[in-house]
Order: sequence, then C-alpha cells, then structure tokens
Amino acid sequence: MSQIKGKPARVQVDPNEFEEEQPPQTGTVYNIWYNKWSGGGNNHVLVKSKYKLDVERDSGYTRADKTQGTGYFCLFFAKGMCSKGKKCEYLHRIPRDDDVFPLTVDCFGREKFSENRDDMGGIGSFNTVNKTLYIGGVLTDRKDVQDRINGEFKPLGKISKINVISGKNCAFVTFKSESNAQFAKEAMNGQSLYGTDILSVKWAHEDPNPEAIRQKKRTIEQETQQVVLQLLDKYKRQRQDDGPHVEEPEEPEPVQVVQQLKQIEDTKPTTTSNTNGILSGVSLELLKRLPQPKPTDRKSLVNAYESSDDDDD
Amino acid sequence: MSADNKDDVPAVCETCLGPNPYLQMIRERGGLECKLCTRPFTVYKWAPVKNGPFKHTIICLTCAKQRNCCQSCLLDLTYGIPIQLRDAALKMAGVDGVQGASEPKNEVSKLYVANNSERFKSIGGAAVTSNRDKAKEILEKLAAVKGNRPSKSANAQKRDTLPQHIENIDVSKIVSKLPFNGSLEPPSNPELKTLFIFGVDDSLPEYKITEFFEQFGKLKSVNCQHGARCAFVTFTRRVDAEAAAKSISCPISGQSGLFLIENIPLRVTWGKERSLGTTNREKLKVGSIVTKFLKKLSKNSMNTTKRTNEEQTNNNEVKRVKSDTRKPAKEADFEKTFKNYEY
Ligand SMILES: [Zn+2]
Ligand SMILES: [Zn+2]
Ligand SMILES: [Zn+2]
Repeated sequence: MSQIKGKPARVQVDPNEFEEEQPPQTGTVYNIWYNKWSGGGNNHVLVKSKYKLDVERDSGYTRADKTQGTGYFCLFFAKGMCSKGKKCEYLHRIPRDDDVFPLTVDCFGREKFSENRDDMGGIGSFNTVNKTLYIGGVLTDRKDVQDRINGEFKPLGKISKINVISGKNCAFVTFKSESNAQFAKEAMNGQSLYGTDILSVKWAHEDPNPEAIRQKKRTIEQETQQVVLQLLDKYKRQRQDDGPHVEEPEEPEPVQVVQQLKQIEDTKPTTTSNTNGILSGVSLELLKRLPQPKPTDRKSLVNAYESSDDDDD
Repeated sequence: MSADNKDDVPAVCETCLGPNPYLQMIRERGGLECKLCTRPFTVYKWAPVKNGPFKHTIICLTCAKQRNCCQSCLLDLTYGIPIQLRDAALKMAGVDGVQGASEPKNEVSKLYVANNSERFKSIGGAAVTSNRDKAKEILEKLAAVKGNRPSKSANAQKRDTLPQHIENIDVSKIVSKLPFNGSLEPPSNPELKTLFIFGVDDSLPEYKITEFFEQFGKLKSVNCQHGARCAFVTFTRRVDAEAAAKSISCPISGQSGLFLIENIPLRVTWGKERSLGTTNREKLKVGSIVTKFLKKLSKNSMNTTKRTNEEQTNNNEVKRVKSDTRKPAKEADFEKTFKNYEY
C-alpha cells in the first residue's frame, strides 16, 4: 500500500464523452451502485458492455494507493469505465493474494447478503465462500473457445480451474481467491468473446459431482486445520504473555461503563492485556484508563443520536 | 416486532471496535433490517479509527447471541474465525451437538428461530465458544486431533469407476495423439516450446502449475484440463522450456520425467498441444485412461528400482556413487511419494 511504483492509473473514459450508462429501464428506481433497476419486477436484461478493462494498459496507482484509503477496488475500473484515473479514491488494479476483505463485504466494499440472489447474480452471500463463476452465453462450438476463455479470465487473477462445458454453452472458472472472482464477475459480465455474443457471469451453484464434493470437503478440512493451528499458536503465546498476573484492587469505576464492558466481556472466554490476539478479551488496562464521569445512563458512552421517532424514557 | 430490547448492549468484537478507548457510538433504534432474520433492530455505528470510515452492526443481537458472533463482522466472538469454520473445527474435534444443529435454511425458519430465542439458544458451535472454559478445553482437544489425520484416504477412494455411459465413449483417437510415451530429450523441432504434463489431480490448482513453470521463463499459455488430468504448458522462448525440462529428473532415460507439485506426482514430456477432448465426458474418459497409464508406469518403475537395488548390492562402486549424490534424503522422499501415491 505504501509503496507506489509504476505508472499512474489510466483514465479509461473521457469524462466529457462519458454518458451515464444505464441498463434499459426494467424497474422504477435505478441504483447506480448495483447497476440495476429495482421495483416493478425483476427482469435483468443483459446488455453488451460498451467498455472493457485492459488490465495491462489501465492498471496504475490512484489516490487509494497513497492515502489510508478504504482499500476497496474501483467497480468502474473493473468495468473499464472509470473516468477519474489517478484521482480515483479506489484501487485501479486486480486484487492480489494479500488483499483480504471482511466476510461481510465484497472487494468493491459492497455489502453481501445472507443468501445468494435467486438468479445467482449480484453481490453474493456471506454464508458461503464462492470462488467459482458461471459463465453463460459461451459459444462453445467455436474451435478456439478454450483459448479465448483462458485469454479473458487469466489476466484477472490466479486460476484454480477452468472448465468449458461444450453443448451447454457455458463455462466454469474457479479463482484462487474470492476477491478475484468478485472482480472478474463485474469485469466480464456483459463482455463478448466474438463480438456477437454476450457473456452473462454469475455465481456458480455448488458442484453436485461427488468428486467435487469430496474435493470441497478436503479443502474445508485443510482450512480448518490451518485455522486450528493458528488459534493454538495464539493461545499458547497468550498464556506465556500472561505470566503471573496480579489483579490490582480496582478503583471505583463508572458503573455503566463497567456494565457495558462486562457484558461484552461475558461473551468472551479470556481476559488478558493482549488486545491483538484472536482470543483477547476486553482489556482491563483499557478500562482503567477510561475517564471518570458520573454517568447517569449509558448515553454518556453510547452517544445517542437517536432516530427522531424514538420515544425517550 | 422489534428484534431486541432497549437495554441490550451490542455484541461487537475487539477488532471491530478498534483501538480507541474513548469510543463513541451512534445508536439508531430499528435502523436496519437484520441481515439474517430480517427483523428491524437497533443499529450501532462507530468509527474504529478516529475520523476513519464508520462500521456498523448488520445483524440483530438475538441472531448474534445465538451464533456467538460479532454483530458487525460475523466472526466468532471467542475464536475470531468465521462461524462456519468454527463449526467445522468443532465437528472435527468430535464435539457433541455441533453436528445436529445447523443454520436455519430459509427466511421463514430463520425468523422462527430468531423469534424463539429461548428455545434456540445457540446454533452450531455457539454453545461451545460462548463458554469460556469449554472454549479452552476444545482447543486442547483439537490439538490432539491434528496430526492423526488420514492424509491418503481421500486419494484412495476417488476415480475408481466411471459411469457406464462415459466408460463406453471411444477416445482412442484423442489418446493416440497424446505424447504419453514422449521423453525429456530436447526435440529436434526448434519451434516446439510446449511441455505435456499428465497426472494432474483435481486438488492441484492450475496456478500452482503456472507458478512452477514460470520460474524458468515467461509462459505463452497454460492449458490445464483437470477432467483429462493433463496440461500443456507453452513457453515463449525455447531456451526456457529446455531449462524447465532439464530441471526435472528423468529416472529412465527416453521416458517421461517426474516431478512433484504440492506432493502430487506429475509426469512430463515434450509434446505439441493436442485436443484433450471436447465434451466433458470425453475429457473424463481421457482422464481415466491417464489414471490407468500412471498406475502401470508406477508399477514398472517399482520393478526397475528393485532391480537397481539388487545391482547395487552386488556392486560397491555403484553404491558409493549413489551415496555421493547431493540430496539422498530428498531423493528417497521423492521416490517414496511416487511409490506410495495411489492413483
Ligand atoms: Zn476508479
Ligand atoms: Zn436477526
Ligand atoms: Zn467484529
């Protein structure tokens, strides 16, 4: 993040020529962020994209690389239509292995949902890790279709597996990381391999093939084992850090604050001063440093900018 | 019906709260719909870093308590890991009760479970990690579990039989053109810059193959077909392809070379890129033939090794040369992996 190398991000679209591109109106409200109409039915009409990302040519540093930005990727860059170039607040490159995002948002910073959309489009679910894209509208009877699919998807991230299903006009592309799958989904939806076709890129349903299920089980086992090892490691280090710990007699503390922290505390197993550890509880040191107002209710801590319709008691 | 009552404080993890001890939170009652049960709930917003971006709670307190997860990041409050992973880990440790209890599947049952929080106190492994002592105990239990994982059971049971309709497909034309019997000797055609790899396992991601060969130079293309268990790797420059081929050991000269990626034994020869089948079925059938061929090769090489061992015992000279090789331990490991691998 701090090291800025290479060229500035290219302006993909001239802001003067750029017309707000909206899909044909299929609803009553247009949502720029999700690029779709909502209300009045849910017909997604696939439109061929006017723009296309060229990773080599377009990538470069933006403001997001210089400041402590949000660290999210530019959705418009992915679609090949960001008019801001190096002035953009979002990242203009493809996600790397070290770009990790919270479970609850995608690499563009959009909030995920509890379930996938029925048509498997959209942002996706926070309950499943999905690294596989379903590519519809692939002209699988063309001779070089495999090469074209490879050529389009490989620049967008590390690939685990590509499978073109001839006869079904579709392909499955599995990325190493979920972020790259999210990025590629936005970058390739509405693109074309031969000029006449339009690709429709969605999340893949779980592969029902028994071999794939076994494969997934193995991956989960491996991941779980890794996590357990990490947890144990942290747990051990934490115990060492603790050492002989003498609890000092506590000063009278703001009652409400203690109460609040206690409640958070109750859901945690350990109380140590190591706040970075995964197993850390609420730090008692931290608690002692708190100011000593005489709060009469929790509002002193939880600053309440209540919604107006709320009755105050 | 609101999802929480007024006196509750949010369940948010330390990481989400941030380092600031003087944290201020904004509370909005009924501000959002819970992302799990869809009931409106009291939303808290705060900036973990001063003047930084805001975080907020996205699920209601009831749902969070049932899962023992953070209302903002949804990670387990005790272990700081995704709750699905937590439940998988606890299952591995053989913790009672985790197996049966699972996430409610649809909106209606989620709502039902959330509304009856008295009955559904905990979902998945929440009961374990919300208990301080139990959480510690389980970690120790898990420590005992690791290490005795059967690593090969997964390999042993796969790809045994193909369904009849795939078994019946004739792929002899495709297979006859593939250079299974090729070698690692540099071919006379200077334009040939492609290596043929077979034995690719479903668990071996393509980028691992790419990364391995990229060490030697820029790649023009990688065509990896997991179904057919084969891949073609084409270099931009011939010299790089030769360097890659040279780095791979070739136990029987004139035959395919052997190497390992992620402990998966692969065979490699020079060879022009050919079709590996167009339909999925064709690819699978090619894959099954590759498997049979690999079994045969590994049996042959075992016999060869046996013979060489006998020769060695009769010949001290050879024995000394053998012990002089730079990495005998590694080589032995290598051979072992090949011999013990069940295709
Ligand atoms: Zn941008
Ligand atoms: Zn809820
Ligand atoms: Zn959290």
